[in-house]
Amino acid sequence: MKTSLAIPTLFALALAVASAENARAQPADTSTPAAAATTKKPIPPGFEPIAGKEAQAESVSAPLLVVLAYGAFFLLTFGYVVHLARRQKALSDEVAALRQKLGKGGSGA
Amino acid sequence: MSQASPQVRSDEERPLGSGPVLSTFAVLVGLMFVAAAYMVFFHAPTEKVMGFVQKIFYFHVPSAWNMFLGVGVAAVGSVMYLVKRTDKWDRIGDAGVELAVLFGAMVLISGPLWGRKAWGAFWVWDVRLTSSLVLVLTLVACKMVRGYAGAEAKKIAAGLAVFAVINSAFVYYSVDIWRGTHPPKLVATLAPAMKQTFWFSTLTFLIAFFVLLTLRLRTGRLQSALDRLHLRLTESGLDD
Repeated sequence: MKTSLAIPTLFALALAVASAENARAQPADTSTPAAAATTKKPIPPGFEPIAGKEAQAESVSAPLLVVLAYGAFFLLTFGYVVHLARRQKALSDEVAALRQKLGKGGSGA
Repeated sequence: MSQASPQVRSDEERPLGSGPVLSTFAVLVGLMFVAAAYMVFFHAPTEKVMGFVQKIFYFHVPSAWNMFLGVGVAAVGSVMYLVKRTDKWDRIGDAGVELAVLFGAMVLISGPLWGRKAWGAFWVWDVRLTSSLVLVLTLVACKMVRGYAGAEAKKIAAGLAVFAVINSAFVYYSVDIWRGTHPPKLVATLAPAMKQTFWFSTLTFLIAFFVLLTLRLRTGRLQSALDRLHLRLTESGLDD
């Protein structure tokens, strides 16, 4: 128990020190994606043309991303239920078989 | 064979989804998921800055809260196991870890999909994202330890779960402390229709969590019954 709690305690101490250090530094305003982008990249003097791969990267289909995300939610949930059902069925069958075996062994003795 | 009481036997051997209460909740949660998806796409308005991709938020955040809930269940089970050393608490801890991994996986899949549109990259090494990844990897380690650590596996898994609890607090408060690329807590600022959709999704996920937890605990009980039977077979010399 003591060893198990030692790692979390050390982790909490490290976190406290890191937080104190961070509080001293002035945080940049990155609360929004737009603000985060402006702090990372220097602002160009005017419009910047892009071409090739960079231009293609702009055309991300939002509906596709949303469909993928929701598909993953439903797939994971449904998959987990199916996994539990199959595991319970296998365990139930094995329990029944072992009980039968124990019953036969007990009656034969 | 006759040592197990009929009540215990019937409970262990009850198939998945049986029992009127659990079945009712399982059907209810299925319908609620459909209704939640309808509300996300047809009731909640499209957000001005983020556009359509913001709709991921309505399932992403409840998934993250369920992950924290799973960690909470794992924490209670693990601490109680370390104190009492009974199988019952170990099973609860294990179920909590498994559900936290499930919902954590949802968070780690949906978050990068949102990020691809918001930041132009699937992944950035932001504090919230990195700590969430560490949390899920810790929980995966909890599961793996059970298969490979031998006799001490349950104790080590419980210790790792306690570590995960502290890490989850770090994940939750990281956006307040570091204010990285990940958006801050926005729920209070949502428009009415967005708020209704969000809270309905949250309720749906909460019910789903308890339905899945019940099913997972039942699987754990069956596994324990099987282990006990194997032990009895070995003791009676009937094991092959």
